[in-house]
Amino acid sequence: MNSTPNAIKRDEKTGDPLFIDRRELRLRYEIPVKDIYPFFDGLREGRVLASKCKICLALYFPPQGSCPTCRKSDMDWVELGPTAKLLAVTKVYIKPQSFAEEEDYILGVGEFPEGVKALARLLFEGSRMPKIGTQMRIAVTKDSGENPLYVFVPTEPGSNEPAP
Amino acid sequence: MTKVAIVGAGISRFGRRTDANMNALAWESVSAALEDAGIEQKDIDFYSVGNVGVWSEENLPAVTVGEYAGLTPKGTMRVEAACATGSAAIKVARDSIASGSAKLAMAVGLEKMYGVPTPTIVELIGRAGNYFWEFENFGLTFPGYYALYASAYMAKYEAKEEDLALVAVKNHYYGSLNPFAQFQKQVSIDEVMTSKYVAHPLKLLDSSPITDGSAAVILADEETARRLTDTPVWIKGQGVASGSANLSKRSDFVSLDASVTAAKAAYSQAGIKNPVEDIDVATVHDCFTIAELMAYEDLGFVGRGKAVQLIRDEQTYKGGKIPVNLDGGLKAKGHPIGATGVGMAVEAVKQLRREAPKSRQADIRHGVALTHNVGGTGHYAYVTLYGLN
Ligand SMILES: [Zn+2]
Repeated sequence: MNSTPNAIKRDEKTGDPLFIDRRELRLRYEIPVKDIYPFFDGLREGRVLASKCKICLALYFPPQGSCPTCRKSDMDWVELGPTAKLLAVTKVYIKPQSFAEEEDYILGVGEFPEGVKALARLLFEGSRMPKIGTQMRIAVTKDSGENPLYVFVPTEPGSNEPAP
Repeated sequence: MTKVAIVGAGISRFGRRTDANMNALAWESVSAALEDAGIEQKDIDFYSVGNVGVWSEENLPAVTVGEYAGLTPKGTMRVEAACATGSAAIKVARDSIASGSAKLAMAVGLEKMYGVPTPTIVELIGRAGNYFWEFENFGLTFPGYYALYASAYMAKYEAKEEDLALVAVKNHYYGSLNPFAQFQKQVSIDEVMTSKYVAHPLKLLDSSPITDGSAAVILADEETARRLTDTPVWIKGQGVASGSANLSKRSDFVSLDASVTAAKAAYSQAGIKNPVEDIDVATVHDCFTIAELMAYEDLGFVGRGKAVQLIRDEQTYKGGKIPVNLDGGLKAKGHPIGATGVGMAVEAVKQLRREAPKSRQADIRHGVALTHNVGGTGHYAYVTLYGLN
């Protein structure tokens, strides 16, 4: 917030006059999760659940409450994993504002034997990037706000890529 | 479909434009397009404004631009298709003419991204996919999306980071020849390779910049086009497609399915049998270097896994088999999200009319140019073919 009475300042690089907005907008959304609430129940119990259409048996992850094929909202909930194969991976260095306080983090897409995939953090030791094709295990941990969150970890402790 | 042609095109200088607010920035290209077409605002029946926004001051850019540019009370709407917003604005304008509801329509692309600090921009673009499952929970960023593709592509086809760098070197070379480009300087492979990682394996110089800019094109039906100009640039075909919001729903990470689908549709409409033979010049969506390589394959310029060889052989330079991004591309010309697709159309028009600077003017033999505009990471795809006939 700029507290100077004059809202105009000069741009540091170009010297152009800029009016500094005195109104600030903050947004925090409230997102309904009623149709996928069993997913959050599962997460609290340390399980990652996908929704499965009772009629056509299609598996949905991320879970959704309705099947667009059958146009019905009749879902079973099934546990994923525990193993998944790494299909794509990155390490994020330039982070969004709301993640600015976190260490650089690794994200990857894992494919489960059931055919569905998930994007999640990879909690792997060492600074080398995990290789495409690496077998991983999905697990539930807590995020910085003590909320349960699913992550990928090495299949066995110590079996991850050696440090460089 | 009714024939529709571009009869006027204008573009602003791209860059960090602290000298112009949204409306003034739009006016630069709107006024140039009106001048180019030789018409007045009252002649326009409808105009669309492509703008993603949130990082800039105006929430209803279609009406604020209309008021500033003297287009009020013409009908309008704002259009959004992420980084393909500009092409979507062209689709809306083209469809309004094809439907018979307009004879002359304008498509304006506008983005003013430097209105907020960079971390806020990273935050907002990071939400350009599935907000809840991929951003809220994990903090995936926009470079991160393409980095995931790069990791899989490089593993499958044994491509190296140096190969990606070749795309940056080419596009900066052409940016250095474009006075409207954000970066008018060349870069070396070494400079790309030693730039900092943004999202591994993509580095700062693999990435298109944050950009302010605008572009505008004026579209007309056949009768009006022939009355206004001797060199109408016809829209010969436009393929559009979408991809899953969640990257975890993609079948693989070496190709953008939406690009493939859009290209097939556009080629079929325009009668393109062999893209490398039939197309004189292409602008493709190189928001990151890996995106240009995937585009070579998704657009059928080369077979799967062969994109690296095409850039190594310099076949996408002017004079090569298929010149790509002779305006510097998103990489060096800049990527004002909502303006990019319209900027591509402006470049296609200039190339086909042989009005580009000689140093970067493609050899126009068939009179056909392609633009490939992707929104998000293959969340949207627009492939458009422009032609002199
Ligand atoms: Zn079903």
